[in-house]
Amino acid sequence: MLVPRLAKRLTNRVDRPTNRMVQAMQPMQATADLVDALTPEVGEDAPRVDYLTAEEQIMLSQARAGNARALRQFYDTHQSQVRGHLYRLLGPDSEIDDLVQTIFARAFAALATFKAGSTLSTWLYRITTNTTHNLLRHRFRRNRVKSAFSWWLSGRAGHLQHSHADVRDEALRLLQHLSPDLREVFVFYHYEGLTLQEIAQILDKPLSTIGDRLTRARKRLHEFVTASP
Amino acid sequence: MTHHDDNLPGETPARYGCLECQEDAELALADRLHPTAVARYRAHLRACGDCRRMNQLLEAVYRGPDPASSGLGTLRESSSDREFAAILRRVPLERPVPWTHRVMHTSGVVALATTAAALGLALLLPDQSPRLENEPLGGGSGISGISGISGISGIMAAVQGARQGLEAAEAGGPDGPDDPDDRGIAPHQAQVDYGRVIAGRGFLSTRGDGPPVLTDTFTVGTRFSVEAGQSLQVGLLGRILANFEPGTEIEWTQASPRHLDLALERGHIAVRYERQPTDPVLNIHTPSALVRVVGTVFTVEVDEQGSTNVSVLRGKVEVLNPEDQAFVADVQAGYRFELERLTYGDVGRHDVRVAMPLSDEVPGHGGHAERPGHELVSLASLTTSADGTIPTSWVVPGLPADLSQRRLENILTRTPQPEIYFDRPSVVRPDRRYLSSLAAAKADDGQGLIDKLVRDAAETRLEEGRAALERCKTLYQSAQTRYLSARCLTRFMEAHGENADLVEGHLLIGILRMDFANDYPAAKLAFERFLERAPGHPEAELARYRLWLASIEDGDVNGAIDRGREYLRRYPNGKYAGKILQRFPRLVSEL
Repeated sequence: MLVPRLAKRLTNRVDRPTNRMVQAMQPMQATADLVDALTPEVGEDAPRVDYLTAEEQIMLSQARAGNARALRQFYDTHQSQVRGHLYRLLGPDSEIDDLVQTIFARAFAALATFKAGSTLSTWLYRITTNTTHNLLRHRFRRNRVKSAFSWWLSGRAGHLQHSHADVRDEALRLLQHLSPDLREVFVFYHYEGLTLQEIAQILDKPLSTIGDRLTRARKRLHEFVTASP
Repeated sequence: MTHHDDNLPGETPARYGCLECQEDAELALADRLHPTAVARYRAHLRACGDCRRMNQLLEAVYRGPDPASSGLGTLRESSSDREFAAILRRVPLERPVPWTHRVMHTSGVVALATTAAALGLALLLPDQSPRLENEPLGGGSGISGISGISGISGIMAAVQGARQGLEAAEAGGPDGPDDPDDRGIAPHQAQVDYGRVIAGRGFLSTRGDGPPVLTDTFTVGTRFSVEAGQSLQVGLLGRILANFEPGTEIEWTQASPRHLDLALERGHIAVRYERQPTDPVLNIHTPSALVRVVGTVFTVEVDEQGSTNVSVLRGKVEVLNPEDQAFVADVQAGYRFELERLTYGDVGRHDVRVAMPLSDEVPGHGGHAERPGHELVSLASLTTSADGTIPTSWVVPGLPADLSQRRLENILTRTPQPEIYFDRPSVVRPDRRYLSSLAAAKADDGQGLIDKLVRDAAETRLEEGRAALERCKTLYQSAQTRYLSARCLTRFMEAHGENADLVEGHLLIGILRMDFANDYPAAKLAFERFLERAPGHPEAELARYRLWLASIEDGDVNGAIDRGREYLRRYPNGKYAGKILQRFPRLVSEL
């Protein structure tokens, strides 16, 4: 209705909500468990899949050989994906341009080691995550200290006190209060539209860990929203 | 948040307040709430401002930020060129550091720390200094030299060694960090000093006007002259494949583990160099330029006026001033650089045609396929693009990406060039004798007919196989179509590879994989298969010699020595014994 992507996700995936949500999702829990049981964990031997189209393979072979035109094509194809993901992950940030350059420079330098074990976009997401993870952790720690100090000054929940801000900005601010691990999974799942399997591949974590992080991210956001004045 | 209770008397459930609304929020947003509950949820939102705001906020959280709403989430068209240029500048800085460099760096740091500690100890305990100074503890330098320092002078030497270790680690070895996979070793002298003629005809002589070279193996200082109507393909170092066009005069002037120099006086050459990080840099000197290559496919031409033209199909080439080695231009893939006019143009059909004998590439790994074990090499993996198709890694402007369209004839040409004519495959038709014998067999019934048919089928298949092998040999014998025979032989092996009477195909395909693809693991496997199936074949001696040669070219010097020993044991007077002894004099005792 309001958020079709959320509707689709909740229909297919497992959640661990409390109280009445549990009752509503019981039938799906069994289905999801069965899907998870049948889905191989990351690292297990899986049948060989061609992740790249013929056109991508040609572009990749030329890019590996240092062909500037192929590199440009690679950049043109994927720069909006990388930039958009950084924006959704970090919000409006002045360092996004610099990060985009870093990510593509790393990707170009590592093209020779790309084994085509995933799609190019998944591989780029992995590089993006590795590049931004430390930055996210650093900012999260810094903001936590700032929020505590603000709370101490105002005597109330300072980190949630944005009554005059626009709803959209406030939603973005709430997202920034999620820990980096939870935020990455939430952004990948709800904003980028990736499956849990793909996220597990990008983050190199077990599927169960990703599912647990997604559940905790939703619960934390729910708590932030309901606690917001 | 204030809690409301919107329940009317008689409704179930008895109470629907803010807590219930909050619990239903995600389900309502996901459109998964029962219509009755949705009605209650909506009714509560209308009555409760706090829950309405909570709903808006939650909806905004799940919708996520829109990159298009901010200038930071999108890129202006005019900025993309600038950003792409900045990315290319940063690529060298982002290359992963090989573990060898990290180990060297760590070793340097440890050595510095240890020597600093030793120096501090020596200063703090002056009465021990003379003893330290007078008691050398061994030899060495760097981290291993810590045990060998003697007194203050030894410490200073160790500090110097440690600093050199650090510098070497940061420089990434002798030629800098060219490749993240810098795990190779420097080529053996037996590889560097010798080249061999792979195909074609030309006049080879030693330096200056020395005597002609009469074998297919040559050394540094060899001069090549290719007459009109001929061409010559040579291999150097096991990784350089060069094609000399008619009218070319060129000399191999220098070879060392760091540099390999050719002097092109006139003519047109094409070179494919699958360079590994520790391989020498190839320099091509022309009368007006120095072309420096670190691994690519390109052509160099010295035209009638003595001007140099460089065309690059893969990778990048630097053109330098031959006198002071000042940078003149770099030529990217797909471009032709004319030094006389300092202009760039597109690579033309003539340039690609000259390089076509080098087109038998193993895709994806710079000419060397990853082969963890020989067992993994299948006939399918031997299939290459050597069927007249221009490799996809070559950049030829105007040529579509569709493989079927990547042909010479589809390249725009500036001047008319002679075309290559390909052999049309002949159709094997059954002869009359066969048809009459079949008709006679039809008159019979039962087992005789079946035996006859089986026998005829086997004979026909053998004849077809021989005819196919002859076709491949015909392609191989012509200098212009030799590189095309790889695909022909691969198809032949797929169809007749298990036939013991046609085992010669393994030998031929091994030679082709070795000479034109530099795919030595595949070549060695093919030779071993040939020897395994036909150890007494008249060409077995050639196969053993080629096996030895492929081991050398592949850098497997120990394997080459073993195979050279095996050859000499079997053929002490063999026609290739001299060549083996030339490179490994230590094997003389085997005779």
